[in-house]
Amino acid sequence: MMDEYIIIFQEIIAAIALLFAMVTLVFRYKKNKRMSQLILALAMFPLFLSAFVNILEYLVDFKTAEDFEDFIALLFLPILIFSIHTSLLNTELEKRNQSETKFKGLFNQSFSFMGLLNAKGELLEANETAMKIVEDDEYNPIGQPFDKTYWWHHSEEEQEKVRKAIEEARKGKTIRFESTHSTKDNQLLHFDVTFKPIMDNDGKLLYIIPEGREISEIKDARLELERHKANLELIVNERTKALISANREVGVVNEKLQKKNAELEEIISQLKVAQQQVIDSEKMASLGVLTAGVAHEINNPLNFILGACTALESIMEDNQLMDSNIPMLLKHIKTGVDKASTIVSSLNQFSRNVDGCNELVDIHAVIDDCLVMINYRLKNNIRIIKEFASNQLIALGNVGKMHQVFMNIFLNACQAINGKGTITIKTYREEKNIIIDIADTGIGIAEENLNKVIAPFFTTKAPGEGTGLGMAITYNIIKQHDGMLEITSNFGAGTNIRIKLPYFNKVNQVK
Amino acid sequence: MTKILFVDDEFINRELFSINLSKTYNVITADDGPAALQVLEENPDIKVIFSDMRMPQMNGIDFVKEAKRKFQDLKCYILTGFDISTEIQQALNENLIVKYFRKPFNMNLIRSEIEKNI
Repeated sequence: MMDEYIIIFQEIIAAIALLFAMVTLVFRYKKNKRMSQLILALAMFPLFLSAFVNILEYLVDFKTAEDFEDFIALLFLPILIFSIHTSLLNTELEKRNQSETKFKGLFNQSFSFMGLLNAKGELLEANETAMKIVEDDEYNPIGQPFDKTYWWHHSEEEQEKVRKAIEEARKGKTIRFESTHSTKDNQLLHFDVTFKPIMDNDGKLLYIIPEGREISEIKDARLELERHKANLELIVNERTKALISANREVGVVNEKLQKKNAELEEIISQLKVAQQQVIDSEKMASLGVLTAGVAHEINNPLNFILGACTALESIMEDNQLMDSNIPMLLKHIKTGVDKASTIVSSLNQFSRNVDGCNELVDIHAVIDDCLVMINYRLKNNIRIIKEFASNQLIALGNVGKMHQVFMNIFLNACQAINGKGTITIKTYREEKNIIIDIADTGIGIAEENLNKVIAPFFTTKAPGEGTGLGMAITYNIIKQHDGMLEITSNFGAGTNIRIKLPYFNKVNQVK
Repeated sequence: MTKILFVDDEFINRELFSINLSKTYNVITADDGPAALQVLEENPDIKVIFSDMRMPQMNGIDFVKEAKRKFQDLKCYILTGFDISTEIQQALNENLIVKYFRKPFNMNLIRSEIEKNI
């Protein structure tokens, strides 16, 4: 009876052991190591216990060989289970070993700097590439907070960056930033660094993997590129500036050239006038010699006449010859002498060989001289109306040239009048100026020609009748006398010429 | 009678000058500068001279300059067929001559000018 219970007990124990073994296998497959080991131990315990009970039982006496066989058979099951378990475990371990070697190789041989941190940010492992850069075989950073390790020893700023990155990675984010490392010979290396969190299935942080790639060359190249770019920009800027300033200079030179050109044109035109003035004054000079000679030759005979007249008068008085006609006849002779003498004197004014601009010019006398000279042209067709100021009008200037001015204007006025007409000459003082208005009733000047009449060589007269220089010379002489010449005209009705000259009084005599 | 020297290369002028003034003055004439200087040499009491401007050998101003260099207290006048020239203007400015007369000249003006100097 007792034996039967024991056998049943044994069978139950074996069944339980088998059950546990199977459970263990299942757990192993689920890879919960600790739990499976615990269950395995629990499974082993009844097996060994039953084996021990069997040994105790059968040690007393082995009745038969079959009993011993049963005993061995009883032992066999746990051994079988154990050996299966061990072989399974070995295979697994070998696989793991291979895998680890593979990953270790990958880890260490990588060009990247890699490490493994625990969830607190302490260094668990660093690859060989990372250790090599420390250049100290004795250095062991394992277990240190990563930000306090040698790699960031050179800069608190970098340490701060790492600390923050770890902080962020712990929250499950992947962080990437640029950092630096200073080697023992103080060379600054640049890194592109990432911090990646590794989570378990429940989202719990297991590790942080820091990884760094050296980008010093890229960085240097980039810096170099930037330097070149800046340099290039500088050069471009400088060149641009130089160009702009050169351009400006060209502009200035161009402007100057244009100015010079305009000046040259002005000078050429002045030269033409001056040339004509030279020719003109040459003519005047020879005319002067001629008129002087003529004047002398006429004045001398006039002197004979006047002298003889005087002598006759006195003889008549002495001899009491009292014919009433005699004084009258003598007076007529004297009048003739006077008139002839006046003409000669006027003629002389034109040929005065005097330069300079410091003579006292009696404007009324000059106008009268000119009127004497053009008298032959007036005949009975052109009437002269004189509205002279009551006072003598004196300007400072050149008497001969001033004669030329009025002669030119009067001759133009005469030529403008076809048939009958008038020339009105009005003189007056206006503050510090002498004004002379000369108005004719001639054909006038067309509006488009009004600005051109003082231009040298401008003429509307037929070839041979005028040089086109009269008004140009007139204008220049007035300008030399600090005066002004204004021409207004009503085409078809007449022309008005106004001459303004500075009035001379003894106060402003110095010139 | 006050001696007056009249210098002119023109015979008619000399003659008319003499006729018109010889009643009041002792008019001595010369037909050019050197002859006039000779007259002054012989008549040191001549104080008033009228001279034509344009003459052969010496012109009026040259003659007056020479005369004034040799003799003191001369009052000289120029008579000219021309208008005033730079030379005459300069002579006036330097008080070489007292006045100039333009031909044809008024004999009465000459007379009153002589009266001022005697």
